[in-house]
Amino acid sequence: MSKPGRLKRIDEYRWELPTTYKPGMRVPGLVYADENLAAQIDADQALEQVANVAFLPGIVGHSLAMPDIHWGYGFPVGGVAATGVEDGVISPGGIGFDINCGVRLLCSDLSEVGVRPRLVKLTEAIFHGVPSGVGVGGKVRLAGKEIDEVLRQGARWAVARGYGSEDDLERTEERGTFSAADPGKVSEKAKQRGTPQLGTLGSGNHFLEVQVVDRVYLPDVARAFGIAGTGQVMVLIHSGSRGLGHQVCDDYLRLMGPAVRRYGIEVPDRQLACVPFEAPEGQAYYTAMAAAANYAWANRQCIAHWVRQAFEQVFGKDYRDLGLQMVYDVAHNIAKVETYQVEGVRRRLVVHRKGATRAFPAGQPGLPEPYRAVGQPVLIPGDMGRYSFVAVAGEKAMAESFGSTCHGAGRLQSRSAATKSLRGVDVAGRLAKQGVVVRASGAGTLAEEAPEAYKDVADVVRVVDGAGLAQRVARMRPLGVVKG
Amino acid sequence: MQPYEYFEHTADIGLRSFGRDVAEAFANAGRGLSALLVDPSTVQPREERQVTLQGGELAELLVEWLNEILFLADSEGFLAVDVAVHVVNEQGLRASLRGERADLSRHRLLGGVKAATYHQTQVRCDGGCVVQVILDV
Repeated sequence: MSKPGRLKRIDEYRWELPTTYKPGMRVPGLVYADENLAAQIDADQALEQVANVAFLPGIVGHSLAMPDIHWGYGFPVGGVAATGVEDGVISPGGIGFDINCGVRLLCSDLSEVGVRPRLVKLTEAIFHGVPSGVGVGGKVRLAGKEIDEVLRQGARWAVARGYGSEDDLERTEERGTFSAADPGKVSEKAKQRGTPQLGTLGSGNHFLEVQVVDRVYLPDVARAFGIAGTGQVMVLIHSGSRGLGHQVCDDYLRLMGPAVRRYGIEVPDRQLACVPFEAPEGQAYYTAMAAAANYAWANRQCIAHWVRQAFEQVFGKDYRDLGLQMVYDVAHNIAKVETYQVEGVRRRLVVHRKGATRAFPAGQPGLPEPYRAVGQPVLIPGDMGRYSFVAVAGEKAMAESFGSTCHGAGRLQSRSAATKSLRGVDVAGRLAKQGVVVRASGAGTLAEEAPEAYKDVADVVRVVDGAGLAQRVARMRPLGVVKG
Repeated sequence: MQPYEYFEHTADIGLRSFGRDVAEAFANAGRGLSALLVDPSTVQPREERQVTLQGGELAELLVEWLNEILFLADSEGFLAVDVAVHVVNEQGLRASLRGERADLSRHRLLGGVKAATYHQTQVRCDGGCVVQVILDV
């Protein structure tokens, strides 16, 4: 259980890390967890990072930790921090290297019974249709300065190129175009990394999954999201901004190193480098980060197009006739300027979400028309052997967590520990016995990403449901998995 | 003496490398990183790339150096197998990499790395040198 002096229990799902934990914390930490997860979190070094984030100048409310929190670099993964636009900082570490890493969910009219006989063929068609792997380029050829249009327009660029429809944009956070983007603030080096990689999956925890709905919690909300009931086949896409985003983060961390001293800011970790949001360096990073976010939205739009093509090839029908429509696309590594009520005053805040999903409940501006009355779909992938969840943003998210909730299962084991404990185990064979078909381009990826390396996403989602940040709508289990 | 080792970090990978001097420890860090991208025994040293970096603290140069290897992999699919660091000090770094462009039919590609981070980066020299860095994977 939690050691005295670290986490103080507030209620069933909330724990406080008081400012007395570490001198220099400007606000307390707030951790969402049940007793079991709190014990796991306490054993990890992530709490130290929750405390370090609380050092950021201008931080408002709490340094927040979602139940899937784990030790990252600088910021914890699963952390949320809001800073004042006028008096606060922006920190590239609060977004991470994979800017706008995020998830996109498609529904379909297909059933598990209809897909099962062709599952191997379908998984292979997706595997071959979407490029992945180190040094392997994408299928999109960008001419001259076209990368700047990708960075300016995001998913809209991809749709104009024939990869998808207007409806896809309608169901993407920011309509797939972050208007703050300035391609001029993205280095040539970042563009050189991003140009050959557009439309590639990437490695690590990125994946494409064919899934089946196996439980519905809120039938009315599920219907509004295009989920008719159990047995329905869905597709979940998890990818980000590839080397372009990594380079943007690296470029600005390097720039901010000396700038931190110039602005007289003290933070306990070099990876937490930050500058005032309104300073020239802060604005340059924000607009470059927005451009990288657009790249990621274009990337997922291209990937979705090739996934649809794979279905068309295997089922011999147009994707529209297969009902392969977007449910939603949401970022979980991003910073955005949003307005919240803070101690009775409306304030514009820079909300850093590092491994956390935006969760806007019904009635919030910025939601697409089909979801205005019901609330934003929240997509929470789990590991490749168990479940993923669709949730809907809860009322408490606006009051407590700056419109944010969890983003996934959260790692429990390091990659090397997972690989060691699974030495000699045929992970793909074991999943095949459970009826899950797996294809991976990177040797070794499967052991690193095996189910036992992760927390059980069901436990994570139960906490955010109980705390009122997001309600469970439906649960899916994997049928076909493609890993980078 | 082993050239490099990996150590535990929940979501990421720690890389620690050793050398008689800073240059050798940096070169071994480059080898340790490359070995996470591709099985080195499947790569031939057919082409060469030069890396030149301007000065800075050694810990920061280490991060920049490793990110340069990732830049070459992303931007042109270049996978390094032979790594030589000619000069590294507060004035900068000069190194050469030999390897070849990624080819799915010949190379055993591994999981990949997003970036070298500044979190817990260390360069320690006392007789021999030990350097370490956390990689975001």
